[in-house]
Amino acid sequence: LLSLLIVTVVALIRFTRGTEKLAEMQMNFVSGISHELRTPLSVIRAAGFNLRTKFAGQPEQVARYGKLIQDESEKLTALVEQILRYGSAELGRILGARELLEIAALLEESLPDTKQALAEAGVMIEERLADDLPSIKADKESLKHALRNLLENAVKHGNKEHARIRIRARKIAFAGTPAVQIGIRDNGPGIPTEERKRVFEPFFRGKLARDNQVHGTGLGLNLAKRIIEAHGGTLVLRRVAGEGAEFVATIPAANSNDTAERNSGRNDESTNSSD
Amino acid sequence: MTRQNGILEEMTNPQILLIEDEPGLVLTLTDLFRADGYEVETATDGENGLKQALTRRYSVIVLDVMLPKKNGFEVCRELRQAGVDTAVLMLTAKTLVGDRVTGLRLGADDYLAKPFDPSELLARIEALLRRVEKHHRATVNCFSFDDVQIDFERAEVRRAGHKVALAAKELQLLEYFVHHRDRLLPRDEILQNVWQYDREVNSRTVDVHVAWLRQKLDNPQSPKRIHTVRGRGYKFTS
Repeated sequence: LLSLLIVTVVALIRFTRGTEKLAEMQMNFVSGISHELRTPLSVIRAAGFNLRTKFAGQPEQVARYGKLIQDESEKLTALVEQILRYGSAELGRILGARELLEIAALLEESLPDTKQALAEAGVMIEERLADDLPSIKADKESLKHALRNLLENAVKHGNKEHARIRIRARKIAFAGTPAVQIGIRDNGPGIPTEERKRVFEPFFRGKLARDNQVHGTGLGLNLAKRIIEAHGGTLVLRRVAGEGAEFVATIPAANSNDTAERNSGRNDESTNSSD
Repeated sequence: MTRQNGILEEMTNPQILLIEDEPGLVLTLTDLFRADGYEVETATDGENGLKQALTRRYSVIVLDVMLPKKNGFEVCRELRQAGVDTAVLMLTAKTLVGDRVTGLRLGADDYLAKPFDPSELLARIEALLRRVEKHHRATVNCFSFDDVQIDFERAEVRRAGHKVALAAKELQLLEYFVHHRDRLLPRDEILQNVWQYDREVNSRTVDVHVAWLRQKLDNPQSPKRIHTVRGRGYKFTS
């Protein structure tokens, strides 16, 4: 009887702690999202007010404010997409239709901005992509979203003065089959040991990010991991010597049937075009 | 500039210190305030904001809560602890009642949640300024301590019922001390506000005038009211 009582009490404590943790996570989510939504909205509102009441006749200010409103709206759009994707993932709808994709092109499209804009913002991108990278079969938009989250994460948490992002991709054997391994490394302060286990938890935000008011919802890495895993791959935080943090994604290569299908499709196209 | 009683006086616009880290808001709010006739200075983190607020006198401080390095609650608390009584309006994305209560309890005068209506922000700043002016008028006209009675409007000072002759600068310095009583006043700040950085004067001038005021209204050997804070400035205690 005593052991039954102990077991019940332990189970109750665990349940209560679990509920408390969930409640705390929900609070963090509401507070984080609220801040992320309210700030760009304030900028847009103040910009609209200034345009209407103060600068309507000043073309330079109109252009400057137009750009500001556009940038802030893009931030809101990205935020809404992140939340909607998280909602879909929670409902079990994480991936759409898959297609054959080349990693190099996908990485290029996933950069949070053009390379030129990043360079102007002081972010240096170093790419080392192997020549023999196999194609993958993936949901393009979802995987782009995952890679973009990783790249944005590297930009946001990288070195503030001289941000350098190293992207490397190579072919590896993964569980006996070919795969593509993509490493994305920043040169920021890195992730403290006590936080390493929690970085993929939804809504989790590191202390440094909170203290320095780095924008974010705490959903990006969680979504990236779920999307990559839904492709049969893995996403891990690698231990690196020296500065920065490196996230390594491994995605299985498309199998020979898929590639053959594409090749035959290509042949058909070339046949058709020669017709 | 305004002409009053035949004397040309320099009018200074109210000064706002905006402590906000979001570049888009720094830009839009600076433009908004300037277009409305305010002088604006900005700080983009809590530490610098606090430093600026401690070294210069502003009419209003617009303070974000979630700031890098030192959050707005800490900035507000440290300002009040240092005796800075400048009106503080907190501007923040935190909307929980608990946050609002914390801000107000730490000494903020008003609180506005993001996203706010810019015209409401301007109206609240105007209301704060009116309140500050009223408070200053109420406290400045007459003031007394120990056996000293001061009537700033009539420029009359009495000690133990006898008239005390004060030079114009001594009276202005006394008024500044009374306005900012119980607060550490660096010599530079006194110079800037009482002498407006007249090139002929230096911090020694402040020391000399303080010595004269002590002689006339305090105890020069062991001051009870105008205290020297070694290496930092003066403090007038009421």
